[in-house]
Amino acid sequence: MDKITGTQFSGPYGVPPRQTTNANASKRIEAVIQDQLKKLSHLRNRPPNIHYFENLLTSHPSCNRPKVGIYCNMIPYELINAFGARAIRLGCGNPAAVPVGEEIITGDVCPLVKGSIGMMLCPGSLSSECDCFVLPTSCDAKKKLGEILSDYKPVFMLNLPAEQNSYLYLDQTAKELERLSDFLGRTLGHKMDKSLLREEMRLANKRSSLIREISKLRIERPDILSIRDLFIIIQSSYAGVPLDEWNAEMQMIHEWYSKEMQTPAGKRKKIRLVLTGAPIIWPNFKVLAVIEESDSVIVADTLCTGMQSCNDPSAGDESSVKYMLRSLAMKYIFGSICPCFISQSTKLNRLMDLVKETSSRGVVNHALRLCQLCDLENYRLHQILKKNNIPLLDVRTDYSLEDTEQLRIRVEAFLETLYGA
Amino acid sequence: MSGGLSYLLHLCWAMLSSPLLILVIGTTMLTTAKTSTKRKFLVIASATAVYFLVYMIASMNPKIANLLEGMSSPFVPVIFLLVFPALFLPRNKYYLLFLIFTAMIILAATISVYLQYRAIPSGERNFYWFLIPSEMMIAGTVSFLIVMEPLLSLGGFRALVRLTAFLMLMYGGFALRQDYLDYKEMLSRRKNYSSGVLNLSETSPVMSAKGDRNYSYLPSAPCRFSADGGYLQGCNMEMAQRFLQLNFLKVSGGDVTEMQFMSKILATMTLFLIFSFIFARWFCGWVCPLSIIGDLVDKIRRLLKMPHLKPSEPVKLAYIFSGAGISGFGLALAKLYPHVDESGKFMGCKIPLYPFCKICPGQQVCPVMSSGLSQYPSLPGWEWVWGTYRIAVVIMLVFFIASFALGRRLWCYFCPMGMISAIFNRGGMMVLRKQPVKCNHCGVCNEVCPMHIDLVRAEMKNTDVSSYSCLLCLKCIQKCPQDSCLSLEFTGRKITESKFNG
Repeated sequence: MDKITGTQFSGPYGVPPRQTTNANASKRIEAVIQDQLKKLSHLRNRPPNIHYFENLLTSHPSCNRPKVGIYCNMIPYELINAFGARAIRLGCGNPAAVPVGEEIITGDVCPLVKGSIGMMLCPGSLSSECDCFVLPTSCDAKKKLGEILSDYKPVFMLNLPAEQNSYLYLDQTAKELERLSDFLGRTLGHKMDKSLLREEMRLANKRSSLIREISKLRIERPDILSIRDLFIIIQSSYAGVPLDEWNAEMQMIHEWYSKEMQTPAGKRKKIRLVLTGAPIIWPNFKVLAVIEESDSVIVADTLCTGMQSCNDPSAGDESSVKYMLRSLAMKYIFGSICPCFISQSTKLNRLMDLVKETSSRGVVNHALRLCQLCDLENYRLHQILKKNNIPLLDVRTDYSLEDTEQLRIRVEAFLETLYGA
Repeated sequence: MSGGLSYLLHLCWAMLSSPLLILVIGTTMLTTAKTSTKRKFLVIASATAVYFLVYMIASMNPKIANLLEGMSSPFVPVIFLLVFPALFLPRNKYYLLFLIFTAMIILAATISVYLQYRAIPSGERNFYWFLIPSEMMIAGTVSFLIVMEPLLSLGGFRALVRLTAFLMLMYGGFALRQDYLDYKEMLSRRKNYSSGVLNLSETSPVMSAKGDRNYSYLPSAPCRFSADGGYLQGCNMEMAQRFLQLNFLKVSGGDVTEMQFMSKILATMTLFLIFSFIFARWFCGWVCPLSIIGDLVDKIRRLLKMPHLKPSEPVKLAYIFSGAGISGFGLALAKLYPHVDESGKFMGCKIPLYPFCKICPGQQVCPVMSSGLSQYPSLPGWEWVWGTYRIAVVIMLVFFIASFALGRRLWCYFCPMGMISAIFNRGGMMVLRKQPVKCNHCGVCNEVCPMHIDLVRAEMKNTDVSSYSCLLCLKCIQKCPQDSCLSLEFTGRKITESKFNG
């Protein structure tokens, strides 16, 4: 295999990194987080150790290991951690960071990318603490986000195949992961620890099984744990925390949940819904809040920042590093439901299964404004759900909080039709 | 009066231990898989009654009776009384009662060993391993596996079954004998090894026409060249060769010995086909000792962390065709054997008694595994079919080891016995099922498959994912991370399904 000599962005056209001119940007970003925390504190029936997870998300755990920022769920963080680093997911959900990003790029780009650039522009943000970034080439915006970020820190673009259905691309992705290991080795000055990789994969599988168990319990009694709390719990596992610590806390949630299951459920049955579509990232829980406050409950999701993100484990029966990279490729690429691949059948498969398994009344599709891939997937989604007589609500929105009330009206109207049905 | 009663008892035992009974009940269960329990019961009961009636009428003819009796095997009652309940009984607290029943069988087997030892004249008492009748041995072993099954994971259970099968088939020759006399006979045979079964160029037939119960033929390759000769020896390829070697002129002339040989061979081959219909290639994945020897080579590759080759479809096809071609060559030579002259030659070259076995690597690795490297047979001389054998033996052994070392169980594409059992991989009683809606396309099933089958991953419409090469080793079910995506069905009932445990 040919080794890369320079970085992927070693052209002569690098520009000096810029920072925001708006002095209040960081304050505004912090204010949104505090506001969201305050809203969440009004939730009834929260798990006793929820503050542990909240703290993970808000004040990132300090560690003496190098930090590697990842911008997607499809980056195998087990591999990064095996280099003695901490992978931290940086994809931004903060509405206050979007206008900061608009200072240097056009407004006609998806809010996730604008927000991520905005965070990079703010001095002292988590992004600026990282040693390097790893991004997938999952969409055009992400590709170019990588190029912009390469002015700040070393960046590795993980080239994803466009197709999931051929072993040609699995081999290719396994090789691409070898290339990522090469990049990480050179950037971090560490060698990969094979036993650490094995251990990280084991811990990630443990996390998968814990999340699956909670999802199963939630399908039975969704009223115990709010979907917003669950999203906080899941997303905090990507905040650079050692997974064994996180797993132990998660085990406590599991015990708490099993105990709460003994209490009688309320008589009023809320309408059960399945959530699908674009990622919902902390602290932008607008859609989750609106749905939950409208007398309905999300029992399952296919979001790459929700339960789906931990759903697929890695598996295999050989122990060579090559084989482990291959099983990571299978977990992250072949099992992925991302719309960046040419076929959406895996996602539809998962959605149909979840609707049936949870006996949900309808599906809510979160379509992030300016995400072309999501928009184009909606065509087939609508047709298939219609064919199967499953009601669908399209929620097309971005990070701004201005349309919250309009959303509420739409969701309530949708629920009205379900009551009638 | 007592003669009539004993005949009746004899007939009853023959009817109950005949594989035709499994065939009748199995097929009715298959066809009535979707009907109600009451109806199913009625259909099965009436089919069984018809079977008994037809069997009784047919066994009036002594020739047919001889054939039918030859088919009966101690496996059949064991399958009915132990395997079927273990598969079909619901796993609740009442299952414990069944486990107690199996534990009692183990106890009975232990007592029978004790009784065999008691029967030895006191002067000659010593340690003779397990002296146990074959029926007891099979029932006891199966009971042991059934008792262990709830305690183990799918992978652990497979490992246990494979280990048990390997020990029985490789070392059962001396460790499991019927009684003390049988043990002594084995010891006396052991003294003339050099001229006996282990010598590659000279073999004597193990099978005798006396209708002994020593040998039960399994649909996988427990090589009859393993040391000492055990209960479960002889592979069905040997039977095929014996069949071709029959002198049909003698048969039509009414020669008694030749007739008995033929009925024994036909019975065994029918038994093989029925077992294949029931278990398809399950024996390849869970029992075959040759594959266990090969998997040792595979294990070494895994320990060395070397990658394995993924054969392309043409390579797999080439394996199948060359396997069929080479076994066809061996069988064709067997057909020539009756025509050799007094010096053992046909057209000027010597033809061995079992021409296929001489090429099969099983004949070389099984003796070594069962009694050490000293038993490695010497190379055949140049006189055998103009030296073809001398070269072929070396090539096949290298080919055998290389196939296992490089491509997991690539060899199993080559094995002719697997090819025959595989006919029933689709349309038999075992079906590998997939719920496409549960699948996330991750491809783990393909990645762990020892035969590199992609159908399980690729199939997204039908639920039947059995394929010709599938060994039913169930590794895909064991490793599939999606709960209840893959499952194994036996006569339309779900036996096991995939379950993720972190």
